[in-house]
Amino acid sequence: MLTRSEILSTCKNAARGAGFSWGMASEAAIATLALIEAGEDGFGPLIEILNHAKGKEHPLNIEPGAPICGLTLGVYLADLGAAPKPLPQGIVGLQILTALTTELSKGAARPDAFPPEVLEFAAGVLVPESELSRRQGAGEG
Amino acid sequence: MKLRPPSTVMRLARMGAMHATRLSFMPTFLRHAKQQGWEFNQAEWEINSAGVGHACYRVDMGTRVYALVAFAHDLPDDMRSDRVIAEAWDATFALHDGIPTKQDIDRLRANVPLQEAGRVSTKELVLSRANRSGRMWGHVVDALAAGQQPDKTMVREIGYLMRTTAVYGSGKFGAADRIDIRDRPEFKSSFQVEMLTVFLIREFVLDLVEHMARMKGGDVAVPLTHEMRRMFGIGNSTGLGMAPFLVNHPALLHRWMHARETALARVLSLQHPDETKKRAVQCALITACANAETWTVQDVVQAKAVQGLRSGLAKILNNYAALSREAYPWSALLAFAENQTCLETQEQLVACLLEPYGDMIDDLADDLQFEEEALPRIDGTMSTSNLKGLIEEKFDWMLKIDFDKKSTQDRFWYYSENKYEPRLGQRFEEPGAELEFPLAIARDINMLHAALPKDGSLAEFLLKHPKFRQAAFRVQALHDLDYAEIHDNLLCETLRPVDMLRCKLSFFGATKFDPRSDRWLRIVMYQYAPLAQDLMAHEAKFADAI
Repeated sequence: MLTRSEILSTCKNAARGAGFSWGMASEAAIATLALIEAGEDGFGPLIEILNHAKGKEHPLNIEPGAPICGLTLGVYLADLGAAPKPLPQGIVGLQILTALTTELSKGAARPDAFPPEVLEFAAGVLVPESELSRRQGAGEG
Repeated sequence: MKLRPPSTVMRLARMGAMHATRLSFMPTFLRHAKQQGWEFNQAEWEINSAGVGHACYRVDMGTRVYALVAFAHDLPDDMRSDRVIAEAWDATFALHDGIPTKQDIDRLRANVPLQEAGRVSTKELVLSRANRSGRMWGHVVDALAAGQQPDKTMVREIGYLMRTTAVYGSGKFGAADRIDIRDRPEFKSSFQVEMLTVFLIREFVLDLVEHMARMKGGDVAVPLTHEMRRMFGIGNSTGLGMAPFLVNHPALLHRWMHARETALARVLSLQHPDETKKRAVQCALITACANAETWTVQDVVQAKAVQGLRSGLAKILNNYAALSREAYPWSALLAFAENQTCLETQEQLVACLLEPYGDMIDDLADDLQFEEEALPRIDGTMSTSNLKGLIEEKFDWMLKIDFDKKSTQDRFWYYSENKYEPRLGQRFEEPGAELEFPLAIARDINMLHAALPKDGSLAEFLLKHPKFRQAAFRVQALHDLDYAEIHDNLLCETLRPVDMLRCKLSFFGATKFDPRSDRWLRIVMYQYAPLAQDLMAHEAKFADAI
């Protein structure tokens, strides 16, 4: 079973790897874990959001009419402490928005592995180690 | 009661000179173990004449039992490496929650020796590994096998037979998350599960070296004397992987620092300490002098600091009689040290002043945890002008740094492709700066301040500028936690990451800090500390070593 800290750190890296800022990535990870702990699919909506955001300019547009990023709108609503009713149509990863704006139950079992897409996005934050860094002692200890 | 201000305490130069105190996590663990009457025992020993096999050490806390499962390996000399990317070790360990079954041992045998490449379960709390000290191990086995005790001077100087290269807790590689155990009284203070693990590793290593001596010397071999066993701690080799912790756990860092500074303030406020305490502080200073004499390092910066410590302590002791007669003698002593001695000496003095005052300060060590997720989330209804005002009021030192200068942004922190390990790169010479991870707190808050408009809500601003989200969060969540932020630029070309490591390790209770470069160091844990048998013995001379 994946641990909570593994889910948080990997999903955070995945969101950063898709181009979100670290602060937004942290929100994405917290929302994904909240969905999983509520017994829902957390990785699915996260992947939807990451695929939608990949290669686009950030910040993502949340104007009605175009597909709206559930993370971007969800974080905005959570910052204001309010959820508008009704929500606009065409929200990508709606469950992430829900997790950010409502209290979910906890205690469900966590999955045993990450979907490959999450790991691929997470690898996007990695930098090949340079010879200079290694010579200076990185990796010791 | 006035505490030393964060502008004094939270500078890296001082954090890199901090020493273990009685509030550190190892002494706290030892006190709890003694007070609670925990029972330690070696439950299994299945190690062959080549030193290969497994052992199990249990601690019975009355309400719960934990077990260290230790695997001993026959590692060829050329495979022994302190690098975190090593793939084989002399010994590997897991701390199991409860009494392990045979199936548990089999499962752990298949995974623990692989460390990061294996997988443990939520029934495990810590994963660790250790390598022998090349200099010490062979000498001790040979000496004991020949019926003699090892060389005391050498033991005093090196201080350990094995050094750990990682002690993973908190949900790493499948182990239980901290949230699963944080309500257990025995783990209420910081890093107690890791301190327990290292303490049991020390017991195992001492038993293993005696076992190997018996295998070699047969009837001639002798065990280590009790005095000699206590002289051995466990070494540790720590690098950049640990550095981001203090930045990523700012509220916890505040707790640690605030507890330490509160303890100091309580002691400094004493107008007329009694003679017993005066003698105890003097004794602590004399012990610190003796320790400084056996503290040998190659690193030029640290060697100079050790030299400064030796002469600084001598100065303090020369003036001790006069200063300790004054009203508020501990304040007078610290003021003298601040005027006349180096940071290394000042911080050693702080540790010595706290040492005899357990009855006044130990309560501060009992609740040193904080879960960062408990910090309030962003309040987007705050106006941008209010946030700007908060930065000017509480983070003004960050605004004084000129981040247009190349030297102030010379470094960047990143995750290496090697095992996701944190690294420090040179921004203008190496690729990857666009992927830097967010340890540039001063720069980011400085830039946030410059970007904040006069009007509007924070939520609107962050919607358009999500890159400032983390900086805005820290300003809002941490502005009342004085010791949460390191008051230095972590991108600066003069940054010495070992200062961050030293600070954290001093809170652990480590000694013999030995920087091997500006980004990794070796230390010793539990040297001279009581053994399991001492903790269980009613008449043990317990307090003298912690």
